[in-house]
Amino acid sequence: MNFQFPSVEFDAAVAAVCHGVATEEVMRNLNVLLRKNAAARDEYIRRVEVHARLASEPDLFNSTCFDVCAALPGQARHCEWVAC
Amino acid sequence: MSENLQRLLGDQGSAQERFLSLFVRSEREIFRYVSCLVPNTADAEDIVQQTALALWEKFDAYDPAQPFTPWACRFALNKTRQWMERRKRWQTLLENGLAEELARRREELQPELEERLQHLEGCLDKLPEAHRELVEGYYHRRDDVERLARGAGRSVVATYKLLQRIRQTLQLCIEDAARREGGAP
Repeated sequence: MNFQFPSVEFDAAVAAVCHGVATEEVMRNLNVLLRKNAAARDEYIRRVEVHARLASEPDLFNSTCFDVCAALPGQARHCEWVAC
Repeated sequence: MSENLQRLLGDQGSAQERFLSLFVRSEREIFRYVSCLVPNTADAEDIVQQTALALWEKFDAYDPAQPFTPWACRFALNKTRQWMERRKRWQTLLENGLAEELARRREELQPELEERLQHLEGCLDKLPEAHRELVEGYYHRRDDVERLARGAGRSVVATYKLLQRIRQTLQLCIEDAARREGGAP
């Protein structure tokens, strides 16, 4: 089955990809649609960006400032204060 | 310890500090770049970790006169390709040039995305309390979906569906706010 855009199948496929629960068939159909339909591609990027921002911006959920830290394996963590 | 070795270790320590400082400032953008290709958060974080190691190994080749993030994102694209090769499902999604096309188009859309997503925090505040709590649990506290579902008396499938609907609500709110500002079509 090929997806159309816009459609509830497209909506469900993008959500399933974000949640990591998409089947191989869904991924194949999404690949076909995104390669041939520029509007679907743009909408996919916009939706995934909202998902990625929610996952990567802890300050969306806090009114206070916070540290961000990174470390290479086996080495001390390096933290920096991020302004609100 | 010889003076040379001390100097060498000192230099490495300083290079490591410089690297981590640059990486910390770019990490979120690298994560979002990878997420455009592999949206699942745990997988994207795995790729970002592998990218960090590759960047550190090649840090000698980094030209500090150039911006760090685009340099890092080129490594992230390579690491994503390598990661995909070991995962058939993701290969199915991103094959036949789609990975490169998504990365290229996201770069073109970047100014629009930045402008629209400045409204995300305000839109989050407009969510009903129960929906905001679910978003916070899933994205911020990284609670297990099974746990979130149990806590709310829903099925896992219903919880995923609700997360999808909440993101759609947020997206409509963002688009509406951007339109009112005259920034988006």
